[in-house]
Amino acid sequence: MHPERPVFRIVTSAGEAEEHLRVIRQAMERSTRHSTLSGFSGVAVGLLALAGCALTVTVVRDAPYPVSRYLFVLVWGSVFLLSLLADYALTKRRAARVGKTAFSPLGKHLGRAAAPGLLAALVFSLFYVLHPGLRDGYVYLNGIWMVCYAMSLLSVGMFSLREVSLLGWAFLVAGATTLLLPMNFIVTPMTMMALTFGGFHIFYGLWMGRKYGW
Amino acid sequence: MATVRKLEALDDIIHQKVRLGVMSSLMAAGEADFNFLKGALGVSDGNLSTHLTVLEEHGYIRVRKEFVGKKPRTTYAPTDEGRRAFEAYVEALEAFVRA
Repeated sequence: MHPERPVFRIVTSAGEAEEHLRVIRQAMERSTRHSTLSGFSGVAVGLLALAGCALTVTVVRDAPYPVSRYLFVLVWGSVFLLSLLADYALTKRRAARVGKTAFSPLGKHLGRAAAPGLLAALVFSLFYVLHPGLRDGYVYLNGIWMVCYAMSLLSVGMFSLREVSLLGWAFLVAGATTLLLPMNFIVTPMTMMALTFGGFHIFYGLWMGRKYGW
Repeated sequence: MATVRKLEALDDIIHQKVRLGVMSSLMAAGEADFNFLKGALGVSDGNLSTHLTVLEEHGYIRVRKEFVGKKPRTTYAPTDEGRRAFEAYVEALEAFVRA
């Protein structure tokens, strides 16, 4: 049973009301600024992507067709799943450290914001798998993944730290470059994969870890 | 002379600044532990504890106590009643400022 509570207050000026609204804004901003994004997670995802690139240019590329197609899907499907697991575990760890939970309403909101871009990437990947005529289609997938991932990051960035949006823009520029410039212009699509999913993530992880904590 | 107006929807439990900060933080974060709230609001252990008790007694927040490894951890989250009271409070304040 709750104690009896007063049902009204006297407010003497609009200034007092505004002061209370300011307290609300400040507290809400501080609470969402305590990021649960993990620096370690960025580094781990980057290293997994680099491993995926290394396997692609060695094992996958040398395998006969159509084995190479299935190996490509196996390698990058594994990279994606391991990245999700690593991100989940490290975000949960970071959230516990800053006194929050990874699955707070804000965390769920970020997950929903990220989902459409990731699902779009999955659809394009399945399209490649289901169309055997696209023998070398994977080289286009690299740029498409970058653009789809950029969409995810930019959506998440609307409710999160500025660094997430910057990472999204970097992926968008890299994806557009990979797709629109002539094939193997300066670097190959797989080098762009290593540079973006590997290098960008590692740089982002180190930055976030140093600035906001690991 | 300042105009004095009576706001029937302005809940006295939430109106106190530390409690308002706690409710605002919990509404934004969804859930938070004692140390997080202490850091976010910049208040002492005793002060925060007193106001958390008031909010809990009035059914505005719920408390979960657990062990993470060997360390005890107390987590707070707004109840449905607390959410409704907070939203009504903010609406009343905004209406007052607009008027």
